[in-house]
Order: sequence, then C-alpha cells, then structure tokens
Amino acid sequence: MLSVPEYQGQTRDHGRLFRVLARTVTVDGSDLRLFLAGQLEDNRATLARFTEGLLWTAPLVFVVSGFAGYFVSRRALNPISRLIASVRSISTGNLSRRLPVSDNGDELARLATTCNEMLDRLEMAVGQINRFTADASHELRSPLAFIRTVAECALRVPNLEGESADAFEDIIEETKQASKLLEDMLILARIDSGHTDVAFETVDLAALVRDVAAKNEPMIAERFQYLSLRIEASNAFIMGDPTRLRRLLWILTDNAIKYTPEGGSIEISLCPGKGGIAVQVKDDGFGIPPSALPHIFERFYRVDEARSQQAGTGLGLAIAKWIADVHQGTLEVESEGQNRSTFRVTFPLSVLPGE
Amino acid sequence: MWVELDVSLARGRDRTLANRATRLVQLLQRSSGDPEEWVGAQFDNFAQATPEGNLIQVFDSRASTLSR
Repeated sequence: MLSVPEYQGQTRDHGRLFRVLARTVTVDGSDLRLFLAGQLEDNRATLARFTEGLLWTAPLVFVVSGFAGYFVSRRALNPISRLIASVRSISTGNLSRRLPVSDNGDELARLATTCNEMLDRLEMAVGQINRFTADASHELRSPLAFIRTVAECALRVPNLEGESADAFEDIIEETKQASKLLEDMLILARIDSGHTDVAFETVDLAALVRDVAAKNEPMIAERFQYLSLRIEASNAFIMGDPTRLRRLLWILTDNAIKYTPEGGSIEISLCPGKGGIAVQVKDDGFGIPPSALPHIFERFYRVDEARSQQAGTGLGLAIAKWIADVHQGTLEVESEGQNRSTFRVTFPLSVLPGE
Repeated sequence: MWVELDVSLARGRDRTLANRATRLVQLLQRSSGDPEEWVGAQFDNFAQATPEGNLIQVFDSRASTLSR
C-alpha cells in the first residue's frame, strides 16, 4: 500500500514549472493516491506582463505623482506663503496691520491669531515708546530753550571773564545740539506714530536746490570749502512737500559740509536720473567704509570715530530716507573708500506733474 | 506589489487544484462498487472534461494507474 504523505509544492519538468498537489483517499477500503498538477507558466506570463507594465507605467506614475505632489504641496503651503508675506510687510511703521485669519480654525488660523495677539502687544509697546519719546522731546524743548536764552543773556553781560564766557558759549553750543537732537527725535516719533502731515504741491526742485545751496554758502565759506552747483534738468517740477524736501536737501548738504575737511569741495547737482530726476550731493570728505553703507540710514548709526567727532544726532539720514520714501523716491549712497561720498535722491517720473 | 501578485496567483492555482481533487474524490466515491473498467472510463471522462486533465493521475495500492 502506498503511503505517500499529503504534499503541495512546485516542481520543474523540462524547464517548465508546475504546481503539484498529492492527496491520499480511501475508497471502498482501498487507498488511492491522487496526483494533480497545474502549469505555472500562466502565472509567470502574468507576472512578466505585470512587470513589463510596471516598467512602462512607473516613470509616468512617478512624473504624474511628482506633479500632483508639487501642486498639492503648493496648495497646502500657499496659506503659509501668504502668512509669511503678511508678516514681512509689517514693520514698525505699520504695526496696525494684522495677519489674515482663516475661519476654518486650523493650526495656521491659530498661528495667525497668536501672531496678531503678539502684534497687539507689540503695537501697544511701540506706541508707548513713541508717545514717551514725543512727550519727552516736547517737554525738554522748553527748558533747553530757556537754558540757551539765559546763557545768551549772560554772554551779553559786560566785563564777563574769559573762562565764564567760554562756559556760556559751550552751554549755548550744547543746547543747540540737544535741541537739534530733540527735534529729530520728535520728527521720528511722529513718523513712527503715523502722525505726520505731508502736504503735496508742485515743487520747483531746481529753485529748492539753489536756495538750499545759497543758505549753506556762509557755512561753506567759513570752512574754506568750495561749492559747485550744477542744474542740468530744466522743468524740474515734482509733486512734493516743499518743507520736507527742503529738510532732505538740507540734511544731505549739511552732512557733506560737516564731513568734508577744510579746503575740500562739495558738488550739488540736479540732473535726470534713473527713471526720474536726481539730486546728487557729492563730498570730498572722509568717505564711508563699505561695511557701514548698509547701515548708514539706520537711526543713531555713526560710521566711525573720525566722522563721529563731527557734531550730529545720527538721525538726519534716517529722516532723509523717510522723506525720500514718502515722495516715492530712492535715497542711495556711494562711497569711494576714504575720500569721497555721494548721496543721490531720485524722484520717479510718476510723481512728476501731468504724468 | 509584485510579490503580492505572485503569492495571490500561486494561491489561486492551489485552490484550483484542491477543487479538482475534491471533484475527483466525489467521482471516485460515486463510482464505489462499480467495475474497474467503468471507473476507469469515468476517470477518463473527468480528465478530458477538466483543464490540464492530462496532469491528473490516480494510483491504487498496487501502484497501478486508474484508467480504462
């Protein structure tokens, strides 16, 4: 009697693969051994077709899924990009702006809400600082003016001894500087709080440049400097605030005078610039090191000791930059190392009357 | 995925063989007591009617194949 155990497996015959099933059954008391086999060639052919299909479709699937992934991720990251753009657009000048908050209550909405709450606190803190700066500057102006008046009166006293006269002159000079600093701080505090009035009207830039140059001539003469004035643009009319523009030109000219040694030359020019009209103030002074150029318009930034010896608040160029900005202009600086600086403010054609 | 398909196809083949074996056992049980030639003819019919019927063999205890 055969006693082959139950078997199920694969075998190969003449290079062909078979699946084999062996089973023992008892019929009428006698054991019968059944052997059944099935070709696996169909399976192999199916697997080969599947593999071939995979090889053909896999690159397509990769490309399609790559694009789909890209678009899905872009779509998912869009709100984050908008959030980043909104955050970047907020500065101390526009702290009242807030981030958009979606109403679906997801993590991004909670993040935006948290950022907005932080901006609330920041705006309040900056507002308090601005108010304090403005109030302090305003309140200190009167005592300073009083001290200066008293010192000037004291200087007129006959038979004043030399050292006392020098002391009063020092007091007057220091109060002048302090008054200038307070005035600049007050302006910047008003700029920060957004309480600045800019009255636009048609301004003859050529006349303004001539006037500022003329008013600075005594100071230039006092320092034995040479002033060159070039007006190369006719009809140099722009829409602007004449008071602010005068201050901008005054700051640039005053800086040039201060940082140019005695006997040096200063050139003020008005000429067509990049897409507009440009006022350029070039000095023969100490120059500005390249490392300082990116910071030159920051508040209270002073370049180096040589320049810091000159009287100044360190706020003038920050104010000049703001004035250029509100006129949609650009204020740039170039320096040729140790001996020449050029400040150029360019007003775009779009603000020219009739444009 | 490729391995899953391979395993799935092999299992399908096993099921097919097991079903054939079950039908063959039923046939043999139905033919119980019949003459040996008659049983052989029944088996041949079964083998012809079944795909890959030529790959089915039944041995008795004397190691003789069941066929007409």
